[in-house]
Amino acid sequence: MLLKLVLASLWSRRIMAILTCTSIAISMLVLIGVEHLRAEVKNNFERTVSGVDLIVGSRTSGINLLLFSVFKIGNPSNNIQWETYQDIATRPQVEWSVPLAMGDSHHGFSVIGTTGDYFDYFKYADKQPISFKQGEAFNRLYEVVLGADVAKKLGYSLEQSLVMSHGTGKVSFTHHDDHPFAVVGILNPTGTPADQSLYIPLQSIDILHQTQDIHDESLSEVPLGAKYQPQLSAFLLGSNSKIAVLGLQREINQYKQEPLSAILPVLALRELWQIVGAVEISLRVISWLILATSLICMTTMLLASMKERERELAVLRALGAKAHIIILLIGAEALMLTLLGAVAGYILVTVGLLLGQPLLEQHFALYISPYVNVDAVGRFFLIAAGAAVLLSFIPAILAYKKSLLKGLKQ
Amino acid sequence: MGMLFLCVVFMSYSLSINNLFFTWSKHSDFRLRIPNWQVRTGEKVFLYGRSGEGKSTLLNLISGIENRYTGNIQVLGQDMATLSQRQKDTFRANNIGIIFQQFNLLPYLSAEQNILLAQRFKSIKQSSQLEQLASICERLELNSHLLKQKAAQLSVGQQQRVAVARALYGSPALIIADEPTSALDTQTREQFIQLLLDSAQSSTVLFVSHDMSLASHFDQQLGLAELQQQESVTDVA
Repeated sequence: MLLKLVLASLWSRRIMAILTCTSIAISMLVLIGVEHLRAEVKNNFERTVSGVDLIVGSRTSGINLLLFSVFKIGNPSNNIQWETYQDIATRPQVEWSVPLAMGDSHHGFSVIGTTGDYFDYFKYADKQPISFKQGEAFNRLYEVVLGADVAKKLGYSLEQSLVMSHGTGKVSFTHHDDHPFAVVGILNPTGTPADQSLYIPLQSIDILHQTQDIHDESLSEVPLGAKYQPQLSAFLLGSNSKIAVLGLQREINQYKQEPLSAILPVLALRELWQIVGAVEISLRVISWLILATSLICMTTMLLASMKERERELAVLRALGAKAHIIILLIGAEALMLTLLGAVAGYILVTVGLLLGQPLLEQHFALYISPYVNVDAVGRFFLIAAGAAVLLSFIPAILAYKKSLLKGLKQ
Repeated sequence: MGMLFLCVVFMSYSLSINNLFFTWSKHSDFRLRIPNWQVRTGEKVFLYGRSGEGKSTLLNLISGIENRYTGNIQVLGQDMATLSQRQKDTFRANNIGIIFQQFNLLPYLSAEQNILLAQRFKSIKQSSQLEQLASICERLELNSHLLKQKAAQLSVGQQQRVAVARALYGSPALIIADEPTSALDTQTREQFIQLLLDSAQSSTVLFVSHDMSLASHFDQQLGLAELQQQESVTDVA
């Protein structure tokens, strides 16, 4: 009966109720959306690189090195000589190493020259190795492996022939037309920037920039270090001992022959996230403020409606409705509006994510799950509901006091 | 039955007021002073008063809605001052039927739901209520079609009849009506009062109005000014 009363009363003021609900829904949308994006971006961020002990590049800041080697953002300040790489990679602390050479692109996607070891040692998320969806790693000079997004967006399949461009821009005027590459492998999606790259043999990077005619030879026939000694942008190192890593890092940072930087990816990621973190906090503060605003708006709405409901409540009081019933009526109304708005906000976020996810993936290389963390949403719901009930006491108590006297005076 | 018997014996007065004094605040000019007033059980009383004389305040005091008074008010043998606000609310729900001037009903509920609403707050839930409801509605010419309509869609006259039905429902011992006829035209007004008095049967009715022309329908006619003037009489005595 009481619930019926609340519903009927709300329905009689439905325009106001719908507007209030909408404002709560929008603030919930912002709150849940921001929280979800934050969690997802952080998650995306942290899963970009794993199982790599050191990233080495020419002397530069740790963040820059991380950005260009892992996120494919920006450029290396200088190249590393082949001899230097050889010197470091052969040290006893080093278990494995993967050289990386960047600088070419294909339709805006970066082209990375590396060795077959890349597919074995580069890991993401929780030390998950990258795997092939189709085909296998390159074996010949003019072969290329595609990241999942590259294959998907450009619609490439195995055995297709591609031409690389010089430079990393989307539009390039120099194409390496003389050396078309054949697709031999396509990687499974990882949800990291690794999906946005093409991988070619390190030897081929050198060939691309030479004019002479070179045949498509098997990689084993043209080993690195002999005829080909390419300059590198960076290289990844793995060590068998965690303690050795720190010593190795110091050695590399103090390398005499060439100025180098070595970073621990985990620490660099954290450092980078701290920069993003300030934005994160302000976004969170803003979304909480928005929720507070719409809850206060709802209280104002309830207070305003008290004027027109004075008689209504007076009737209830005259019929013998106790104080708690009046307070319950108004509290229930506030709670209902808030929860309805919150659920609507949640649905909006989910629908929005389902619709917007492909766009985010396409434009920002962000893989955002459309399924919001239920724990966080539950927490928001509880907080909003609690605040709504507490705030509803203001109009409820006022209404109770007024309905005692005003109503019957008429 | 025993309960009813006791009521008859001890509640020869539905209402008994002694040395009642009420004022809004120290600085307020308004004062309500009723030295001595009794209403017998089952009596139909017409209380006349001009606007601003304190009619509504008096009704608020009797129904336990306004509490800041000195003196003694006994309703159906119950001293109102001894009850907590909660108890007053329950007492009102159980024993008093109230009809207002206008806006008696919740506009968004159907007429029937409005009538049943009174039951919601009673502490004693009587059985065989539905039969009673049917008989009340029949007497008040409220057909099933009308009962299903939203209160907001009813005419003022119909609304007043529903309000009477609600006030009568559950046979409250005391029915308080606060200018219930002021929104009705003369002819409907006469009909309404006759209907109320006929339907009230054994209940005590306290009818407050500024319209003297209605007074003839009632057993007893009183002026609020008259009640207040008794002061001097009491003082002398």
